[in-house]
Amino acid sequence: MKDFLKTGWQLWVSLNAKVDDLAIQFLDELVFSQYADEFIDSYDPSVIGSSLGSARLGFLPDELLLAIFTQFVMDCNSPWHLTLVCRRWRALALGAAALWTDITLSDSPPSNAHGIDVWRIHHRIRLVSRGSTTVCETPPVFEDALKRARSAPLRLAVRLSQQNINDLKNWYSVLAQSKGVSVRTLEFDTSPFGVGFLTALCQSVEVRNLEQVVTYAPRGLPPLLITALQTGQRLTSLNVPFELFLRLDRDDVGLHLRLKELATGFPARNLADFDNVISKYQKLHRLRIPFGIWPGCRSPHIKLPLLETLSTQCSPCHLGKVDFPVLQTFFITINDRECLCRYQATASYCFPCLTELNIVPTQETDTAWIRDMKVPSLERIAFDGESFPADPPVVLPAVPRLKYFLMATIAAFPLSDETFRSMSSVENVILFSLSDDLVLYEQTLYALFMDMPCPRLRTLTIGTVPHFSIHIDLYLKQVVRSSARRPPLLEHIDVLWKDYGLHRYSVDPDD
Amino acid sequence: MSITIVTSDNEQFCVEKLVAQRIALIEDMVENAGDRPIPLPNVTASVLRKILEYCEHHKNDPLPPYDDGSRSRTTHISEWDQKFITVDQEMLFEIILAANYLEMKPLLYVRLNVPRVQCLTACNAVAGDIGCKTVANMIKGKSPEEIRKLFNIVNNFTPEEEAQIRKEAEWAEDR
Repeated sequence: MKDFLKTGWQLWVSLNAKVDDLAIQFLDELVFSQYADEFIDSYDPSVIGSSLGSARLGFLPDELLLAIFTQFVMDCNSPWHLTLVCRRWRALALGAAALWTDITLSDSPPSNAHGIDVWRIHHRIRLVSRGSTTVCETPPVFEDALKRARSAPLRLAVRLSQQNINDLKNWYSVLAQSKGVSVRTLEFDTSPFGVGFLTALCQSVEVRNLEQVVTYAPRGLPPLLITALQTGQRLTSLNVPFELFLRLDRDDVGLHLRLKELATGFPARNLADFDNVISKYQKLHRLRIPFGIWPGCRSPHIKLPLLETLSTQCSPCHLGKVDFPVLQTFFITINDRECLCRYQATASYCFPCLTELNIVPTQETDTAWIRDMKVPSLERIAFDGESFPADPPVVLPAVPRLKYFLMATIAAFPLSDETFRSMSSVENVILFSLSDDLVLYEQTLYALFMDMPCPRLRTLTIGTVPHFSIHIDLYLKQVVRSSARRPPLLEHIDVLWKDYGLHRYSVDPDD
Repeated sequence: MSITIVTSDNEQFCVEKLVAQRIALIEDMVENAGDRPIPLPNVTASVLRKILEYCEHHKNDPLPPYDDGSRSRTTHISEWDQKFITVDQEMLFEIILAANYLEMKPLLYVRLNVPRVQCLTACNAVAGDIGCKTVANMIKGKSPEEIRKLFNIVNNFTPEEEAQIRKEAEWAEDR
């Protein structure tokens, strides 16, 4: 009896396993058959990469499909396109608030150009999308956009310069009715309407989490916005373009002070009371405030621990007041006209991570600070602007990694021998001038190839030479042909002739 | 030093530790596993081979830092990564699924343990999520019908929904 039961149990287990195997095999066959049918129906040999598994996208879980949608929208595509494919895609796309956060308020209707899509939602409302951005031309469209974005942090751009003042209340009422809206990135022009709108925005929605601010034509900056930023302290990027600032009349007399507050996070009128300031914006990565002067004579010592990119206008003698331990890119426009400390002794400024230094000098700029900088990581140095200080000469810091030297100036190249000698580690030189003096170009080439102050030179680009010169042409041909007359690593010389275009003089690699 | 990984189809891979550390899930398991083989029941040998090729190429890259979404976003895919991901659709989706399971941020940046909105925010910030990027690139510029055909998706809108969608998009399709 016991043996019988044992044998029976083993038989049952064995049969059960076989039934399981057959069931799995059957299901595999069934699924395969479905795939095969769908595949045969839909097969398009022109679609590269199609295969038997082409239905696998349907099996991706929602979070992966949403990750794909996010990439699609990130690459400047309208999420509306995703809603047209199938019910699942439509439900997922409309349900993912984060896909709909890029909103621009604009009263300049985009033309029907490339990259613009026009939709008609809720049967009547005309909606324009530009890439991933929903362009709201009227308050109802803005209201609709906010509903889709729900509480996901917005990337909001406000360009409402042409609005009739009577329309204000319609826009404000949308803001007043919005609940749980927060803004992460804010870009705005500050026309009177824009300033009013921003004030309403600061009152109605959550702006303390603002991370990036770009302001064009800053004729006004609502104090409420400054307060919100100082409270939130999450600012990572502040960008105030310089050119527009200069060209427009300013309506807001306290603007300079408030922009300084933005940079430091402290009330500007109290800044002089501090000896040392660690900016409240501990997360600030990028600061572009090339207006006025900052840091200035009365600025306290300031530390921005994460700042990687800085564009500012100041006197170099105040660089000792800043501590930017991870600064990588520095654009500095020299302005020492209003500086009380002008021509005082300069300290040696230390930027341990700086790789790129761009300087717009003046003719009278004291250049010793450039030579004395402690910038061990510096790879590129560029001079731009109308003039280049020849006296005293610019001497580059002695940095082994310095590989690029670029000068683009309207005036002639006044590079002195001392400047050339300080370029010993430089591998790539670009010199541009609008000078009509041909002799200048000849002298520069002689200086580079007679004494060879740049023994590691690989490439040289020079221009715009006013007209083709047989003399320069022959000289450069001799340089590239004769190993004795050129630096050993030289690869080519590019010359931009005004009348002849760009011509490359290449070194024969077999030479 | 090397570790052994066993795939769902029982193939064993002996992998240099530096390479295996690119896979977050394995990095977590290595300490507990000791000398025992690490099983990956959701990954087949062919897919793991491909993923290890990626890890081998990127083994000396700095590990991706935690990103709070504040950095600039990029959609660039390097030339090598582009070649790596030029596979048929079946393999592409297998890689995406496996990268998700293996928690490989650079290959596919998805955090399953965070809410959806945060997950999407995190996705926004990472440069290397080449799997999702590649599929997104395949969708780009295609009409709904072309997308359906490419991915074998059935148009399951009801006639009423279809009519509604046509009204929404009629101007868009005129462009």
